[in-house]
Amino acid sequence: MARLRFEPVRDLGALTAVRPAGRGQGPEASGARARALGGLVAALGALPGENRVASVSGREVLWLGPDEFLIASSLENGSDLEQVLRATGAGAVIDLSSNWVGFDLAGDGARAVLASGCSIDFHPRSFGVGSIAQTSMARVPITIWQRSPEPSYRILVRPSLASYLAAWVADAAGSLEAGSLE
Amino acid sequence: MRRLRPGTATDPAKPLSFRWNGTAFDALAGDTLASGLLANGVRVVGSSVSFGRPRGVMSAGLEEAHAFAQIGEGGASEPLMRATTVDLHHGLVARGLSTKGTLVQGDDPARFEKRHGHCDVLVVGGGPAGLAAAWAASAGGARVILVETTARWGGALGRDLELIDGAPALAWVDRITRDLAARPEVTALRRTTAAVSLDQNGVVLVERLPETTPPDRIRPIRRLWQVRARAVVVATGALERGVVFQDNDRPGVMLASAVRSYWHLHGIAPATVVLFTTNDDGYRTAFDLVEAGVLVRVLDARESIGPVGEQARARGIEVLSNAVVAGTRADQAGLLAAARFQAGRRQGEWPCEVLAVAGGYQPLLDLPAQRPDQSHRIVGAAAGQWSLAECLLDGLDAGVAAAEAVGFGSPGPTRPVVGPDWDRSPGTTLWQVPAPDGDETRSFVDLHRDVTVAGLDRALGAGVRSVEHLKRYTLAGTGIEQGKSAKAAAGAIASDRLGSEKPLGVSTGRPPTEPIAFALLAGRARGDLFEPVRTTPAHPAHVAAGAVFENVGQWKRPRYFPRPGETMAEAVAREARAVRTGVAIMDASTLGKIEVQGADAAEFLDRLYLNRLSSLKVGRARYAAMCRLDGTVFDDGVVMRLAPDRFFVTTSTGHAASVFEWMEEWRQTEWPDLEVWTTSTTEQWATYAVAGPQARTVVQSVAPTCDLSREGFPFLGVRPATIAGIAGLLARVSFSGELAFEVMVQSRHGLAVWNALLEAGTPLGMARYGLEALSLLRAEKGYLIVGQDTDADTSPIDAGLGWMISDKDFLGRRSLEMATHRRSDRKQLVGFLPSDPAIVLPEGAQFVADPTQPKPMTMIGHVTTSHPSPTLGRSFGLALVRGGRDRIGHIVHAPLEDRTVAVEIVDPVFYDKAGARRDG
Repeated sequence: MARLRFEPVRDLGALTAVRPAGRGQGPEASGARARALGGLVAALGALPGENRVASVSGREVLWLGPDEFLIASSLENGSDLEQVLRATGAGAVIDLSSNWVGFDLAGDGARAVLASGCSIDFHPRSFGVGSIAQTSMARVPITIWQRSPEPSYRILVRPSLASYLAAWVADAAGSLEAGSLE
Repeated sequence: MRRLRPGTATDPAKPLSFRWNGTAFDALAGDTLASGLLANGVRVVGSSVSFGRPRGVMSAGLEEAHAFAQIGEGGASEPLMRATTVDLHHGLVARGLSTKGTLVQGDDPARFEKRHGHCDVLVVGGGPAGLAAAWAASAGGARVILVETTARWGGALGRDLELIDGAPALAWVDRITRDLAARPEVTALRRTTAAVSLDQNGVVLVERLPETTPPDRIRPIRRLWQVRARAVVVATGALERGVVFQDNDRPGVMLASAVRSYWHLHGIAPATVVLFTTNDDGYRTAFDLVEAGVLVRVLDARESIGPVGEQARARGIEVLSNAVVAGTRADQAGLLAAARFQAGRRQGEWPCEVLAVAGGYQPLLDLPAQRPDQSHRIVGAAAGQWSLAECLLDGLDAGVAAAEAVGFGSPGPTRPVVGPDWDRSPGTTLWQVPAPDGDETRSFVDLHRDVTVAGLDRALGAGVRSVEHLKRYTLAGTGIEQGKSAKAAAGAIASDRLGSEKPLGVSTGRPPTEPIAFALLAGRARGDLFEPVRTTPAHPAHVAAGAVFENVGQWKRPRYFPRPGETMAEAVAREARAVRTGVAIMDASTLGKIEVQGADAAEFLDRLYLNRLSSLKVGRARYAAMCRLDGTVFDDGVVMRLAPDRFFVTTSTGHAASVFEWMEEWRQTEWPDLEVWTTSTTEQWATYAVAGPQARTVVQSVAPTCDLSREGFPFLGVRPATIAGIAGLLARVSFSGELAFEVMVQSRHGLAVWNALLEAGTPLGMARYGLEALSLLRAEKGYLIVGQDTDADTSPIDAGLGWMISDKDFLGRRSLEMATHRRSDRKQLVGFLPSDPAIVLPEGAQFVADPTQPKPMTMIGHVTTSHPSPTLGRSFGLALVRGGRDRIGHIVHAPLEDRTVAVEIVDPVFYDKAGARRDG
């Protein structure tokens, strides 16, 4: 097995941010929020818990915050998914399909490369399949989640920073190749 | 000293050679630079910093105060390395230093790396206590990082031949390290120093990796670890201290433990040794060297030499009790020749090659001393445990406790049996032997810094009483080894000299415990990776077009697009003329973009912006600005209403992040009841401005189905549109005063749409324009750039944006209503015209009212923007001027270095005051 694979994701599909309705406090807001979450569960099949990713039938639902989910879908295009989510009565729905590009980082050298640029603990005891974090790597803001136990990770980065991040990882991969990133 | 045999650390099968001060020497793998020099009989390694006295290796470790070296040569060289901590490799080049050495000049070929580490238990120190702690802590599966600063596990066990469980202690070390290696959750690092202690059990480690000559360009030579541990065990051990006496700095005066260490680890021994000891532990050096055939005599400072001393006598070693070294005698080269002693009334002199000094041990606590608030477990000799058995038990207990504290089990009862054990306790405390002749100018307290007892006396004579002042007055304890061998002695001897009952104590050590090279802090962030670089989707096209780029924050933005042979001024003038007379295109994709959605989105924006945005109709845009709470201008941009509950907001490039955070702060903390959400969409969209009288023609040809007519698509209109086959947005927004369309498409299509627009513009000779032309064009219209034409004191009224202020409340309104914002002498944004139209004032130039006044002159304002304008046919600019609006029509003066330029203050709108050109 290759020690490290790092490649751009060719087709990331649609990325859509959804913010459940029902802000504020009190029974009315809580009720609205519960209805909004219920609507999203009905539309998507499931919602993830904190710092988790739910994978349901071709869609990955990423937990980004208490009131923010990002849905990565290979099923539909951005505007179709937007319609699906709007129909649930969500507070806000935004197509972000071009706001991010994806990289896949995989192989048994992946954790060493991550440890050399990111302060998150990627040990399986604290970050496993389905874990997600918004953090930074090589001083570049990223969203990262683990997709398989291999391990393989998917990284979202702003398109403007993708070349820099790729160059940085290539440099780290050189060190890994030389056996110095153990 | 000579090598009599291979030691336990060196490998006779792996000879190597190295160069020292230009001379080649042979050594063995496992040698340090110091042991390699000693094995070759090199006694002088440098000279002292202030007095130029010859100095030799005095220790075998971190506390080395003499043997500093420049390692490597040319670009790869590193200064001020301690010879005792540098591992030799074949081909190593070094030279001795007496002063600072030299930093790398030019490109450093060496690589440095950083790494984040996470563990349940971090154990600092790989001696007996640390190994026991790491072993116990990891037995139940906890993640453990164990670090040892030297190249070998076992700490003092390498030099102190003791028995554990009936076998040599090094066999125990082997067994423990094998166990640790077999545990997958243990990371055991040698040559790794814990340098900095941080909050919440953060510890910065410096790992030294094997080096080669010439340097490897891929493998790093150092790795900086940023470790976060749930528990920390400190087992840093203790360092032996010397005793201060006259001429205690001669090459040949060494710590007794170091002499023993060189013998056992490297097989190096002198021919004759005088041991000066205050305690039992020093006798180990005597016993071990006698077995090697070395002539050893002992001066024991204690009145009663005790059973160990009697044992020495029984083995035929001459031992004097109540004996101290009063000074040393040197040969003509300044090398140690003899130890002068005083034993009761007896005085004498023993010739010797090495004077081994055993002044007792002191715990090495520089790491926990950095952060006494951190609840680290300090164990072993670092905690004052003076026997091996106690150190092992202390370590095991701490390992178990640390693991249990973070939820892991412990090993079954394991109590190693030590025997026979040695007492390392201090014996009698002796910091200094007064000079017999009273001359303390050669009694060195800090050998590295050349601080003597006489120097301490001078400080005390000057009234210094605090140990911190003493440190700064004398520099004792300020060396590279952070005073490891000097700090305690300086405080103790100063107390003695004062006759003070209360000890002065020890000065505070600061992080890092060991020097950290800047290159190591940089890690990979060098050269092309120095700083993250952001590029727009059309960047490859800009590069191909020969753009000259400007760094705007992390963004690379085209500054101008020179044609072959064109100067910058010519290119900018051509680009600006194209906008005014034809058509040109620029990449505005770096503009910050935020989508504001929700039923209360309009109310939210009304509270943020000066102007009322709830009255904006769907499909319309408005120029808007916001204030900080103090009523000064924070940012400006265009707000577009896409739907009743959806707004598309742009910010300036530099404020994209801060405006988004500002919105989130108010949304989350102050107005949690508003049904509104913000999302950064900066990179969802590529934005291109097509500007100029012929812009409509160009845009129409890529958006044929869209009604772009003056009536059908009025100024500040926003429409969804299909542009070059791609669904996007069109907006009629102009930052140049000319007819202009902003084309917005998803950034994944950005490059294609950029190229399509260029192609559509080719028949009309459409130019590309960059930031320089943009700045010129907008300044001609008096459009400000927040942060360039405003500063942290500029209100919207000062900036000429007072017309925006609506009758509703908004952030900053209360501040704006204060009297200070109504003063007529505030700095206001105005235009200016130099009296000589050929002179372009530098941005930042100051204005004065009276150029003949004496210096320092009273400044009344400064130039914020200045350009030569091809359209106006002259130079012009914008300036912030005190009471500027009242000065319109008046002359002020800009005193420059070589001349003073008269300047007329004018209205800031220089071009098309009626706004007739924006519709084309």
